[in-house]
Amino acid sequence: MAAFVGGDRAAFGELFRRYAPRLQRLMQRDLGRVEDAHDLVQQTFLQLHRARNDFRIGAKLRPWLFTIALNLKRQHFRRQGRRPVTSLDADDGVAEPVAPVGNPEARVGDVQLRAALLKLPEAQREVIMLHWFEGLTFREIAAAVGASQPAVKVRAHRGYTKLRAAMGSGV
Amino acid sequence: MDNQLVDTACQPVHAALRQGTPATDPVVAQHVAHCPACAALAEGGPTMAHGLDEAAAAVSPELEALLGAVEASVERERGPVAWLRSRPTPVRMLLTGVVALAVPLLVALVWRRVDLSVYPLDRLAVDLVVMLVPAALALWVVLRPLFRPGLPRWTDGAVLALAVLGVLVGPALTPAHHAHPASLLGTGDQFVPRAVACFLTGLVLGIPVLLWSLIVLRRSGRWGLPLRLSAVAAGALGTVGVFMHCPLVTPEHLLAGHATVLVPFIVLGLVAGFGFGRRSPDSAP
Repeated sequence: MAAFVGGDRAAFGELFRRYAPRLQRLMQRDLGRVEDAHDLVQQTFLQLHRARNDFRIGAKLRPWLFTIALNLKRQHFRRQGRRPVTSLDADDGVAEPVAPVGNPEARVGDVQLRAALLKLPEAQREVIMLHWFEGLTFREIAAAVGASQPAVKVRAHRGYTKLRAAMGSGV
Repeated sequence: MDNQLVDTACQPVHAALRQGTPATDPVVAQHVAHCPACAALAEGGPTMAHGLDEAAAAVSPELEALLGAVEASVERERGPVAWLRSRPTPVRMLLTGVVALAVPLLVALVWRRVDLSVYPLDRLAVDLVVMLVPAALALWVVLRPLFRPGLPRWTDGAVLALAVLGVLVGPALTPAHHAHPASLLGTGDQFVPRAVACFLTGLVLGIPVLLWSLIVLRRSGRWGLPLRLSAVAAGALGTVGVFMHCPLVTPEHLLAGHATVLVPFIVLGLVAGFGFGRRSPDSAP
C-alpha cells in the first residue's frame, strides 16, 4: 500500500490480486448476482484509489479495505431498498455453488449450512464472513463494522451457534 | 487472557478445525475456553468447518478481467477534480468549509442587510446557528470517507429534518426588531415581489455550494445520498446568504421568501438522487 500511495501503479494491481478474490467472495455471499459483486469490488478499489492519501503508512490495509467494501454493500442494499437476499435461480447470473464432494451426509449438511448462513441477520453474517473466511481479528472486525469488540464477539458467538443448530435441525 | 491474545489465536485454531482437528485437541481446547465464538464453531466439528468453506467456494474466476476495468476507472481519475477528490479528508472538509462560508461572508461584506446595526446580537446568533449547523452536518456526512464505519440509516433523515426546522425557526419567532424602516417593508403589494426576489437570490447563492460539494465528494458510483445531503446543505447555506442580505423581519416574508429556498434543493436532491441512483458511470460494464 505504501508503494501505491507513493505513486507506484503496479502496486495497485498487486493489491487487487491479493484482495479482490476475498472482496468478491464477501460481496457475492450477500448479493448473489456476480455482476453486482463485480460492480462493488470495482467501486471498492476505485474508492481505495481516491482515498489513498488518507491512508496512514504503517496502518493495516485489510480492515480499511473491508470497511470500504462493507459500506458500499450497505449503500447498495439501501439503494435497492431491500435486505440481502440470494436468488436460487441459476439462470439469472447467480454464481453456481460448487457442489461439495464427499459423503452424502456431509453434502446435506453443507447445503443446510449455506442456507442457514444466508438466513443469519446481516450483522452476524458480516462478522462471521470476516472472522472465519477472511481471518480478521476481532479488533479488526470491530473497526470494520463500527462496533465494539465485545459486540462483534457476541455476534460471532450467536451466529456460529445458530449455524450449528441449523446443521443439527436441518434448518 | 486479554482480548488481543484471543484475537491473534483465532486463525491457527480455524486452520486446525479446517484440518479436522477435534475440539478436544489441547491447543483448540485452550483457545475455545477463552473465545466463545470459536467454541461455538468448534462444537460444530469438522462438518461445520467444511460446510462453511463450501458455502464460500463459489467465486467468479473473472477477476483478472475486472482488474482491467478497475485500472481503466483509475486511469480516468485525472485532472483537477480528481486531484481535489483525492486530497486527505481533513483538507477536503476544510476547503468545503471555506467555500460554504464564503457565500454568506461575501454577502455580509459587500451586500449586507441594512438593519445589521440594530439587529439584536443574540437573536442573530440563534438565527445563524440553526441554519448553519444542519448545513455543516450535511456536508460532514457527505464528505465522510468510506473507510470509516457507516453511519446509522436515519442520519440523512435527521439532518434533513434539522435543516427544515432550522429555516422555520426564524419565521416561528417574533420579529427580531422593529427598529429599521427597511425591515417593515414587504407587505401588501410588495409581499410577493420581495418574497420571489429573496427566493431567487437564495437559489443563486446556494448553487455554488452544491456544485463544490459534488466536485469534492468521493461518491461511490451513484449520486443518491451524497446528492440529497449536498442539496440540503446548499439550500440551508442559500438561506443563510439571503438572510445576510435581506432586512425584512416579518414572519410571512421569512417563510415565503427565505424558508422556501430549501424546498427546490430538497426536491432536486430527492428527484436527481433517485434518478442517478440507478445509473453509474463508474460501474462495471
